[in-house]
Amino acid sequence: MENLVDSIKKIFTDENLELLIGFEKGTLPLCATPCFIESADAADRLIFDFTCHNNLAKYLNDEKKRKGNTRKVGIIAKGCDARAIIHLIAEEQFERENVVVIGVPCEGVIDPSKLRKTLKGKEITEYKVNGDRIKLIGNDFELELDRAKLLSDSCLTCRYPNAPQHDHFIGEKAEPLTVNDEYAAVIEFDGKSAEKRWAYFEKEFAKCIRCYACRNACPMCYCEECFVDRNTPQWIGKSNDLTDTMIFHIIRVLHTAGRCVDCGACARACPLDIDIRLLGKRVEKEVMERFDFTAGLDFETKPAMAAFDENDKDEFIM
Amino acid sequence: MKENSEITKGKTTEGTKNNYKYNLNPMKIYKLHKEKLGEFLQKLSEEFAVYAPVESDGVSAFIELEPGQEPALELTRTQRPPKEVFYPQTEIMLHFDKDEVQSTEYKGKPIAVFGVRPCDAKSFVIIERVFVEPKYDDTYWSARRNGALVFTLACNEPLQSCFCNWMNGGPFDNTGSDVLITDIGDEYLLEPISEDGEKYLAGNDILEKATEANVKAAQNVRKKAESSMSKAPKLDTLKETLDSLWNEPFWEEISAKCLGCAACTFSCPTCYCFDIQDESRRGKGARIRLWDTCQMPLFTKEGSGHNPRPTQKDRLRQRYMHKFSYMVETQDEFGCVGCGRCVSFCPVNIDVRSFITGILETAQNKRGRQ
Repeated sequence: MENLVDSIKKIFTDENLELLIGFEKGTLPLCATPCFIESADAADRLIFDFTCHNNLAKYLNDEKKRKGNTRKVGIIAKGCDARAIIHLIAEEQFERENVVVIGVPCEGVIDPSKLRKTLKGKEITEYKVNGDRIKLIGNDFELELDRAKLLSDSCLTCRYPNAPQHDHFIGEKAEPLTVNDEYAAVIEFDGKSAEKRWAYFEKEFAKCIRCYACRNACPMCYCEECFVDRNTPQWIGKSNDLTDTMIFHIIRVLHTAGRCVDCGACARACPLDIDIRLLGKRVEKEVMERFDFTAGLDFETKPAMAAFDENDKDEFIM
Repeated sequence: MKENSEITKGKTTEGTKNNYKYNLNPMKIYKLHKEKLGEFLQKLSEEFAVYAPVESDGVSAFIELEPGQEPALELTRTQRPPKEVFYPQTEIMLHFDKDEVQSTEYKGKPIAVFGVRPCDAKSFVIIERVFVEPKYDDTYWSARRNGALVFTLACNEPLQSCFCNWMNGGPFDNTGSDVLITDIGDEYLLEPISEDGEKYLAGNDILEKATEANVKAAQNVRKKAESSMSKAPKLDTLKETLDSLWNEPFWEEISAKCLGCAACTFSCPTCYCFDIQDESRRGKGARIRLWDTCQMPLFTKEGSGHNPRPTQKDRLRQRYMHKFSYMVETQDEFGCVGCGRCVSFCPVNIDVRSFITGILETAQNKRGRQ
């Protein structure tokens, strides 16, 4: 996107932005890093490509904590960043007029976990992209593979690569992938016995070190005080005991029901490469089937968990 | 191996103050054919509980080897830090049932850590100064650490995110090691560093004496590894610089993107802070010690509800001040070994190396302005 910097400079001035949240080049190959721009002149370091994997909507929550909801903030948004922003505004977390959504076309983002698994403990010094292929280059090795092998699972079933609603859009809109069944993995998993499903989650969450990178990377986890951090009364054990760890993950997923935009930022943040996303995707499917609701598509629709409809299914009520 | 804190301290001082020695006196060096590694570990496990890098369910960590299990020595860095061999993330300190109390200190075999890397071996020494000092001895740490042997595997190929050489270490540093191992192709060279290491190797009939050609090969490997690392900036004024920049806007800038998670502190081999909790039901339960992290608000939240470190700026500054200023004051050494785990695992790419160069630059600019 050659015109990214120029376009942003213009938007910054035209919109009288006080802050712009975007990405700049990181210190490791295939790893961009979030950055905060407070003047149009500083925009030169901005980049956007498939290495920009964080969900920047999270930083709107931080901005609110730091400066209140007062500054006009622009944010460079992939499809999922935009959906998170839209949902947060639908939840009345921010004033619509204080947030400027700047859409950029997304072709999927890299999953650091997949990169780690591919490299088996090694690290790269550089990489080269050639169409759909990518060459990973290290000190004593070269590895060429399909770029899709390194993309986040959430990107591989993404139907919204562009911001569904936006104030500006830079570049040409990306074609959505042909997603035959977004929920194929969930349906396949659902077909397994309860024991097998439980065993899978036990195996995954046994790796958890309770660092809460998943929670803190999530734009929807904006509670002033998370239930795991409460100590008067204490709701949950704080060690990496498996039962406590699973309670944390299960409750977090329930708290994001009807709110999760399946950006996959939680899974990408996990230093232990845990499959955090599957449980959330299952809940997302449930919300869609029950309430015909997908989070973050427009500013106006009331979120599923904030709306009541007399036709809501209620067969679970005795 | 450590019998009391004095020995460790002596060893550390020697290891760090003079930087590190690598005498490679062929008379004292042994070699182990790689195909005999299993046999060596088998013998080691007769006397010790042997912890080595293992990958299980996609996570690499130092885990006690099962009989016949091969360690994943090709991994330069395990995801989980080996401090947990001596200081587990969750440790039961005692069980209680009303008035009855039962202590739960480690009573297993002495521990051998095999294949730990030089940065991580040094981390044992740094943490130990916190848990063991002449006046106090943390019995939970010492129960595992006393009598332990550390077999360190030197790094022939440091990673891009490694920076041990910035932290007065190096890919062949022997601080905290009883034996330093060099991979020279078909064989491992084993150099005794401590007396205990020397004693163990001398009595081992699986080993052979190294030749001068072997030692030459090890020297070449070492030279290559050291020269492959990025040049370390001059850090002798880092502490003073940090102390003078407490209120700089720089802290605000570098912490803005921090998520406030514990990926850095929980993957860090030298972070040692813990919480103690009682988990009980009707008077029966356990007292547990668990890793805690300065990156979370609850760490400093007081009973009144007041929090002296209310923002992420305060918390990130604490982490860096602790490692690069306060520990220099208490230990005369950085509280960081440059293993690079935090660099590699930070979900938003906060790179401690950029922090260091950034703060030095800020200081320079400030001096320029004055």
